[in-house]
Amino acid sequence: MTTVDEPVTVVASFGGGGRISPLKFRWSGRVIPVREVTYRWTRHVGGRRLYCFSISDGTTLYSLSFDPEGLSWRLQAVDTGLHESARPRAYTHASGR
Amino acid sequence: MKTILLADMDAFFASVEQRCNPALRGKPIGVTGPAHRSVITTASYEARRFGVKTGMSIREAKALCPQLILVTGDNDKYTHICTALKEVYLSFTPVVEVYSIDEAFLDITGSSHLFGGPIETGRRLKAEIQRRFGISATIGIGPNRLLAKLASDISKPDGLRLIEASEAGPLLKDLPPEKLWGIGAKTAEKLKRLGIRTCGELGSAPAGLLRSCFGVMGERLRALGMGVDSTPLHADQEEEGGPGGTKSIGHSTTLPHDLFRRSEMAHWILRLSEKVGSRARRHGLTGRTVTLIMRYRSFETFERRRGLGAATNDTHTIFRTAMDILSSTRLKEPVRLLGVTLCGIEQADTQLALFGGEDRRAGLLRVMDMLNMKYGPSTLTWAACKGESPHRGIISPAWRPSGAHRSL
Repeated sequence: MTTVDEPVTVVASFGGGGRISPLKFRWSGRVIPVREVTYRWTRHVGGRRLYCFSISDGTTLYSLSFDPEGLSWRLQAVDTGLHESARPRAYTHASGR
Repeated sequence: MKTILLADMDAFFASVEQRCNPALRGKPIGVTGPAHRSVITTASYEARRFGVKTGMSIREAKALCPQLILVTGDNDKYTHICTALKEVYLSFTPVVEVYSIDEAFLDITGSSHLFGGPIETGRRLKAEIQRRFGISATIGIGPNRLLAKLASDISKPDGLRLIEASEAGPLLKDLPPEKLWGIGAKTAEKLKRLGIRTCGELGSAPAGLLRSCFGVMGERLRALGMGVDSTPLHADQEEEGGPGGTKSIGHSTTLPHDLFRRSEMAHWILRLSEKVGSRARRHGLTGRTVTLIMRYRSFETFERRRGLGAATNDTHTIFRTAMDILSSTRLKEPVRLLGVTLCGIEQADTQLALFGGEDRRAGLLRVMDMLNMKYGPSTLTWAACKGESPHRGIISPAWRPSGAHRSL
């Protein structure tokens, strides 16, 4: 996984029992659909608890986090081992430096 | 007669990573620490078929399995699942001892009838772990921890096995002693020199012979050879609130590159001392002995320890003591791994200091700890620790969801 750590806009459902499911997100001008949430876990940064998701759009693996205190989402990382063409152009430029 | 169940996750870290990333499923992967020089922490079963094992260097592992995919471990995932697993265990019995990050003992003596008996309890637990976390576990069940562990070991991976007390004798008769939990390679070697090559022989060996060779441990070894283990489960709620099972608090790190000069090692030792000290302070514990662990480039590992005048959890006392040990050690080779451990753990003394200096120091540490608890580790740290990019090593197997081991 390559670290990205950028804020992203996410459409998500907040279901019963506090289950959060990201459905799609916008990153670098592209809307990326969530085909599968492959794993969920929580992470603590000091006193804050972040909800983390490993998700796939079918070709690329992304790691998203949700901060319930600030109601904000971040794209934490992208798997660079999968298809190059799946990545948004802006990201490809950034990683090519 | 007790019924003890051991739930042991199969290739835990690797299974979680394969579950997270569909592209890794069915492939040989090795989970490593974040440092490029770290060792294989867990290998998937696909990698194990090539001979890749825990503790192997990446170079050795790649030589055995060139197509091995290396994945940097993510402690947050593992600790989250370990904590969530405990909730699952507690739905089967209130008596749970989380033994390590991927193993837990459950005393199901009084509850297994609710689930249709021991085997059905094991089956249901396995299914629940698979359903909730997408990983497989091996379940071993026996009349004590020793036989539950043996049942698990001989059924891995994805197994379920019950060893009845009556089966223990025939099963252990020809089993080498080192296959038993609690008997290491060195003890097995000593036993061999006494002509004891199987558990059957160990169980029927004269108690006097074992006592003369192993001291008080001789009796216990003989009992293990017979499949007898009276060690009670340390349910987690008993451990909280006191030093309980905490014997030591330690951290180690593989360095980004080998170091020979002591001055270059100092800030790593300070960083480790701070992690040890802050963890001890968080749990209200102090220690009377500091141990410095070093691993040479050749992987030869050794440790030196030094007692303290008074029990402490002060970062600088731990650091100074570790540096004293380093100064008095003649290094033969460059060092690739450093570790600092605080032993002789006891409850922190809250008596006020006679002189003001110590109170100011305690106050400074308290403020540091509070800020780091609120905003994250190393938000406020010693100036000497800044500069070198800190990396989190892979989590210790001893991590548990509660008690002093609950720390990264």
